[in-house]
Amino acid sequence: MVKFEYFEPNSLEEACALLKEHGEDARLIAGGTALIIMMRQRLLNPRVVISLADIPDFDFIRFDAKDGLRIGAGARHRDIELAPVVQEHYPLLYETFRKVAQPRIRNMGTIGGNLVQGDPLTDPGASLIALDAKITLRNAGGHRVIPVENFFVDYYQTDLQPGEILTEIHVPPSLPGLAWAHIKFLPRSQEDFATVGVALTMRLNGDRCQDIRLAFNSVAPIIMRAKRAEEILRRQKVDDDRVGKMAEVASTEVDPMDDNRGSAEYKRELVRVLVRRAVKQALERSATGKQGAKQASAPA
Amino acid sequence: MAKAQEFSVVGQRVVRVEGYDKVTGEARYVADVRLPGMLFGKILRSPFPHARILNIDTSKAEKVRGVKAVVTAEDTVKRPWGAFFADQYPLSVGKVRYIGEEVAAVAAIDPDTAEEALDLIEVEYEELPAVFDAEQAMQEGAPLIHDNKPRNTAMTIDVERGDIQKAFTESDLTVEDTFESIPQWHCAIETIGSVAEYAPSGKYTIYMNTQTLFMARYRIAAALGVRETDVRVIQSAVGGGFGGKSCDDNNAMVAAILARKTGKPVKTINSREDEFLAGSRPRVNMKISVKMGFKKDGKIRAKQLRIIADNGAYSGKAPAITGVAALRHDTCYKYSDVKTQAYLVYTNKIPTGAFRGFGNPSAEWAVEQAIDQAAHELGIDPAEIARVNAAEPGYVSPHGNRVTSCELRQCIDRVEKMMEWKKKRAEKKPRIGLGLACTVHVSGKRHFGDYDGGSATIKINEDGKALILCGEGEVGQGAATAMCQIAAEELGIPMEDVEISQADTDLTTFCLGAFGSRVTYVGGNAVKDAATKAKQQILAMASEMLEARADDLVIEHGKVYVRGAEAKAVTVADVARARLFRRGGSPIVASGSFDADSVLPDETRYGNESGAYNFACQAAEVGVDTETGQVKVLKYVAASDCGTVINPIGAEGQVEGSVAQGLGYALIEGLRMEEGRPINPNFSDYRVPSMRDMPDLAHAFARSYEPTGPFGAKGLGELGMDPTAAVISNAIFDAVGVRVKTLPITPEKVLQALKEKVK
Repeated sequence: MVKFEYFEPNSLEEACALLKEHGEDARLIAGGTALIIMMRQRLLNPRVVISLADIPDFDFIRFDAKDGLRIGAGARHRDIELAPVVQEHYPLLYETFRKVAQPRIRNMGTIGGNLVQGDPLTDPGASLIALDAKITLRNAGGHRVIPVENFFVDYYQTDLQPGEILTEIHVPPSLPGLAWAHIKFLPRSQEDFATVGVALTMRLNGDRCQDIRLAFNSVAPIIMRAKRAEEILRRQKVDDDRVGKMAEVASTEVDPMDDNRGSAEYKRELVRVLVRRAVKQALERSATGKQGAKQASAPA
Repeated sequence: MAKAQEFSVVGQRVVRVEGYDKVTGEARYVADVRLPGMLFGKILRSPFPHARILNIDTSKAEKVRGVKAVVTAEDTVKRPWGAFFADQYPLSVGKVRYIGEEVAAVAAIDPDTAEEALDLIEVEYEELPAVFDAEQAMQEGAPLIHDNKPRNTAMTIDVERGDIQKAFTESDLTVEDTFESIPQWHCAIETIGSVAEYAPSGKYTIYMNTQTLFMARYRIAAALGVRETDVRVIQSAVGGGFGGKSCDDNNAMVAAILARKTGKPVKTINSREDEFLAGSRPRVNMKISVKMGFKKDGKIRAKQLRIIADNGAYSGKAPAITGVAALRHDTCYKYSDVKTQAYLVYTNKIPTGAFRGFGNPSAEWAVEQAIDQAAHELGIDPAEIARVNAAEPGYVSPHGNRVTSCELRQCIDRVEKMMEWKKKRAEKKPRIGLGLACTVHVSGKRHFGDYDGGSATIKINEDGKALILCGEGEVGQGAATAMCQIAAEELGIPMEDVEISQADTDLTTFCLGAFGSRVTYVGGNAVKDAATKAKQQILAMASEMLEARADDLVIEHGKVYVRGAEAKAVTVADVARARLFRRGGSPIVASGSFDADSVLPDETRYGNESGAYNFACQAAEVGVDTETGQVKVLKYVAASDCGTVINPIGAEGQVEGSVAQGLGYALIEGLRMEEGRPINPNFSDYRVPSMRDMPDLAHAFARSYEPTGPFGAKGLGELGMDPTAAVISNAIFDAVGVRVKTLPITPEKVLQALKEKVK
């Protein structure tokens, strides 16, 4: 590891000021689960490291029925997984976060750190996109709010601008009866990154799909929303044909790479299979009226 | 036949003797060793798979503040070393032969400074054509990796016993296929590391996490060009070996070279990437063509193998491993007509080497699938075909291996029962299948000269406690605990009154170390011998004290008494004190040794490689997702014949760990390379099964007693992972009718095979 200067600011203002001062030479550190590895491998060699550990109330998790869920960027994966309001109102998030890596990582890594890293193999982004979540990005001069789905730009690249800090994640109020599914396909190990990750939410009215959001991780340079596939089902009757067609379209919409988890071709094939399974799971959950976390499915 | 119930300490579920130190963090691993003035070493590795070194300029690196020395081959004696063939150097001489090879090294006041200096070493290379595939490397005109090895062939085996052609003619069914295995990494939780010191008198002291101290000393001395006793190897606590820490790599040599040049202690600890590039030597990958002839009743009539084994750039243990793959399995089943040809071939990749199973898992991956295939084609239950062929006591393999104890049939029976094999077969469900395979392993292997022995010393201290001095070492496998149990049992003292020393080549007598599932059997026998002799000294002294004949005395729970008159007793402590504190007194101390009654194989590879053979049968039930190709192991059962189980907790751990590594080998692991460069040298890309990935696993140990073993014990450490890959493949075949013939069996390959089957 190359030597660096280390700061522990006590407020976001101070952190933003430090970021502004050191510019490109600086990196923020929260849980460190990604940054430390990259620094050890000398892939990143920041001259300045700014810790967010001492920012007060940076790891809050607050729920309000009207406003929805607000999560501080410093909240750890494990905090989110175990938060009663998440388990009660956002079973999709509970299901997602309990599958992130393993407890040792979940106890260190933060949601903010995860998102700004822009690693397409990680899980939280797809579920946040499926829930239409937004994030707050703040700099020394002010802040902006953008949807998570617009945040991922390219492989390990996000819309985070120099000087900005991701401070908050906002998930809209949970809709009663929202059908959902999360599939993390893990053929090698439960602790692996997903070979394919699918997050799905559907608003149903009888057998019709009022609205749908379908997102993926591990099948493109970014964590992505499959808008073309969604259109096949949106405001349509949900039947095997349409679901099959949606799966087919999704498999062409993704842009996977060959890697240690499988070939691009295999991942497309998995998308076809797993989209159908995700819809099935979501419909089953909706039919039984059991939305809660206890009904969370086993990994595919 | 003695039974476990007759023992008081052997066979008990005892706590690890080093367990407290480990769970409290007290145990000193090599990374914990800190010596005054200690420097940190880092190694510059070859970026090319094959290149001539034209020039190395270290001047810039030497000028970095905090750098104390930069070394290259010019600082060495340039003498090659190796376990069987001396073909590698501690630092490259003239040429590099794989990506990761040690070219130069730096010692500095901290690791970051050393790393910074590495970047400033300027090496001028002339790239040479490289070859990565063993079959291509054998071709005429392939780039030559070692000048004295034509066709890059390190070793050839060509053995025929009986009349193979006649045997195939007399077979009712012939099965033939080709299978490929992969280089698998040990992934021990602790990487290889050393701390070396050099005294101006000429002596090196090296703390290292090796599993074979005396063999490490021998090889380090050879590489440094000094006498064996100029090197003292002290074993630190070891975080797992699995064969990868048997000193076939250069870590300790480089630390020693740096220590000599700087005059300071130097610590070199492999990063995980170092470990993947050039640390522990991965399992030898092999391409195995198997042809087997069977009679209608399932009896094996003929077996023929052709093996191409990938040696990597240097030899290490691969020559012996290839021998095991070629011949060992013929001790598992009874037949007489065998032909085997094996070629060990150099390639421009990381040298392969010893890994739990030592050639067995690769060979069994092929052979046990051929047998399973025959069972299906003959309409015989795979458990039955194993049973009709199974070895039994008194069997002598075509290559001379003499089986003393053998409970393979019992293992098959136990597996059938634990798996509910017959019931499940009768109620076969779609996409769910059962598979089974058997194995044989050794308890020590006679291949380092005509010796497969061990030795130990026991001293009885004044407080009655026994201390075992033994150089076999403890690598996390539980050897120290087993030895303490054996000593306690023989001496008649409680387990808590036995301690075992750290292994240290200056203080303990010669031992070959932890490989070949040998330590409990060979080392245990040596400890038992020492204990027997110490006991004689105790009894002789007690006989004076109790005024009774030594023959009439009994030692139990640390007390010596006259048989039938327990009231008249002295403690072992009383005896030890009485013997010492008197005119002409002496401590109670005895050395023991053992050399297995095995026979060094001759030039035709006929011999008897081990003193005892251990056997196992395993079975799996798997479910296959035919849409994704994913294989899920629903239940796994393992029955092992390791003779008397010395410590059930340790034995169960060995089996569970073996099966975990076996499942990794079968389904998910494997070094992947592109042009000689590992593309998955980290734990994100190279996955091993975690606790959460383990299936429901049941195990059993056969009622068995090995007459030549300590209290009837045999080896166990490797047995459990030998057949696992074949078990899984056989189960997949039973489930969905396809065989994936290359490891690992990824879901993608399964899906592909299913599609081809439909075509």
